[in-house]
Amino acid sequence: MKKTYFWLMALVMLVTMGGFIGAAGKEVTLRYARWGIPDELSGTKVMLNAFMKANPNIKVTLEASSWDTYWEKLQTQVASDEVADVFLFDGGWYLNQFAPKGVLMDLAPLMKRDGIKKTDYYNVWDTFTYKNKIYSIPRDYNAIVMFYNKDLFAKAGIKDYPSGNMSWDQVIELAKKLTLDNKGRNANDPGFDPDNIDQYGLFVATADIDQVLETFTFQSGGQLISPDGQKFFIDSPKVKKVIQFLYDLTWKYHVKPTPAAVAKFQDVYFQTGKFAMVYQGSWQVSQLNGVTFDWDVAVAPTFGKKIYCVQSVGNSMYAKTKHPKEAWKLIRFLCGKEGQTIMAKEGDAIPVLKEVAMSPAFLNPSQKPLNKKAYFESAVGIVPYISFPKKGEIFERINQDLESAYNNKKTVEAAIKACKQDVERIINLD
Amino acid sequence: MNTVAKNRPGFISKTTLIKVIQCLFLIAGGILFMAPLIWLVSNSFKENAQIWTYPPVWIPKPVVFKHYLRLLDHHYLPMDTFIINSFKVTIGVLIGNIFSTVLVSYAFARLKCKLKNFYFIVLLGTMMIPGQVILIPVFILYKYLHWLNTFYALIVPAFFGNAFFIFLMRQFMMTIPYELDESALIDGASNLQILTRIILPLCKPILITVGIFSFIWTWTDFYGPLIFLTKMDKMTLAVGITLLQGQRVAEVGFMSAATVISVLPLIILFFSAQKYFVEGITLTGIKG
Repeated sequence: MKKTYFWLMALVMLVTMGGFIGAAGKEVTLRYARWGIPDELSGTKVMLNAFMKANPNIKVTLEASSWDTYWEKLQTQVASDEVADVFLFDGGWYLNQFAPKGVLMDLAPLMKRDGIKKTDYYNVWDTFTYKNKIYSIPRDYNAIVMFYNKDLFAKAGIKDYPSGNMSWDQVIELAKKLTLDNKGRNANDPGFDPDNIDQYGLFVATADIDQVLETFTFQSGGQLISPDGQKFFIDSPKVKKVIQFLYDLTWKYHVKPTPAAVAKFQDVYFQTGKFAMVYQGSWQVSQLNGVTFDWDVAVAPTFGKKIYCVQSVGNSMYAKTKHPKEAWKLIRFLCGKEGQTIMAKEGDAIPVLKEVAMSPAFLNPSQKPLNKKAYFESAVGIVPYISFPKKGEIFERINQDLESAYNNKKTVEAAIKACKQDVERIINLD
Repeated sequence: MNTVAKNRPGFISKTTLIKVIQCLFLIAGGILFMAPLIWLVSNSFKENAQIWTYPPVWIPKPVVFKHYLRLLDHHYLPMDTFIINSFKVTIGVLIGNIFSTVLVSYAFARLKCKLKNFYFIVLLGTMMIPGQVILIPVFILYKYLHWLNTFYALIVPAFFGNAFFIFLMRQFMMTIPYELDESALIDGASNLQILTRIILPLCKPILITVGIFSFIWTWTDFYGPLIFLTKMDKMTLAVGITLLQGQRVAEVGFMSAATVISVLPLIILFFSAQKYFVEGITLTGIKG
């Protein structure tokens, strides 16, 4: 009697447990990791909620970190097989580091199966491609464009706004008229006092090697470093010309602040209203809420070729995820029309899907800048935003070596020579 | 001669002069160390544009509370969750540290055992291993224990002792006269009774010192919570605040306000326990 009772109990337990397991199998929880500040996260939360509403059997938890800690964390997680199912990935800096480790899923077959074409998106695929495999679907878009302060142009009586058809030489002429000393004389006046400048015509962040030196070199038909990061061409005439130009902006034309004056601005330029034109990334738009002057953006000037600095980050899938089907669904949502539209409306980031980028949801004229199309016009030709071994270290070295020239502490020639030696030492070191 | 000089009106004696100079030095030093803190507080009340003005502005104009008000918004940044998590972890670790430190240091200070000094050296040796070296093995261990994304990962290790605290407390216990233990032993006290009735009451300053150190280190710990806790609702304050530091933009106003909130408990704690804290440090310094 007792024995039957026991077996009966065991059977009941087995059935209920089986039931639980079966029910639990239906609901899937995905982990989505990204870096970002609260304003960026709030847009992502809206997107994830919309996704969960559309897919009631999938729950997504958001794991956020700051940019710096994100990559540190990812490395620990890779070492112990605890990576999030879907995560934001910046191929332009990290692809060569993570792709060979087998961390990222090749998404090309899935794209092909579901009919996702590369041409649906602006051409940022180089960033996500490593040895002919595609490791992320683009999520957002940024272009380095020319921001200009319309009020300062009006004050100087200049109606000729910057446009994508201008050369850098034409921009210098504009900038000279817009650089004023404390007595209101502009940089063309004979009595101009370069030691007491109140308003600058131009700012270019020379420290951002990829956005400035590398991009300008591409525009003039040269190359700074080979795509595999093995050959370094800083002493080629074309690169030299660009460095000389950047030096002249400060020391010959006086349209850009000296390093000592730059220190006072602490990385905040256009917002101060003291700059007529600033060459910077479209991500700065979020910082311009509440400025008192009128402004817009234009496609950046060029040295000849229409090649611009355009950057994108994408969503990747963990190669060993337990739920590849659901993870792919999430990526398709975030990078597809629904997700991109929410992103555009929330002001979280600039959409990279062409269909949404050109829709009223994004081009919304009640929100500055008016000329949002300039971002996408920059995509006609782009500087490859790709990672290679020691990229961060090399760019930092270039920056530091050239700074001594921009500071006027060394001649341009001497700085280039030192830079060539230093960087080649880094490349050849193993 | 001296007394005459002291009493003469309009004449400052040597000792007063020295005191005045000392005071001036201390004030100058104080200002130097207080300046970053004052700047932080002032930034948290400034408009973003004013934070970076040069020369720096000390008194915000206008005074704005928007950074604090926005941080109250749970949907913007769950500061309340971060604060509660930080307290949970900090208090858990505090209990763990006191518990393990008292027991282990009593053993090292009073009990007899073979190779005791060797074990003590091994214990001190663990202080030389940087946390990053053992990070990945520890991470994998916690993964199998299912401790990731739980506070166990941060609290349980404290129950297994901290070499620095044990060292500190052992040195302090060694200075307590052994005669006290002996008389208790003659009266029939057990080891546990000796520890709780005789030794611990005498250890008050060092207990408070260990407590403060443990609180401050856990409260400001960044690496542990960063690696072991990934979910937003498990983040501690030190990690949560970094979300305000973006890839390309930093919300300096919000960061200042959040930092002010995060250092507030430390400041309150320090001032309320300052007397014991200094006592604990000097006692171990002189006698230990």
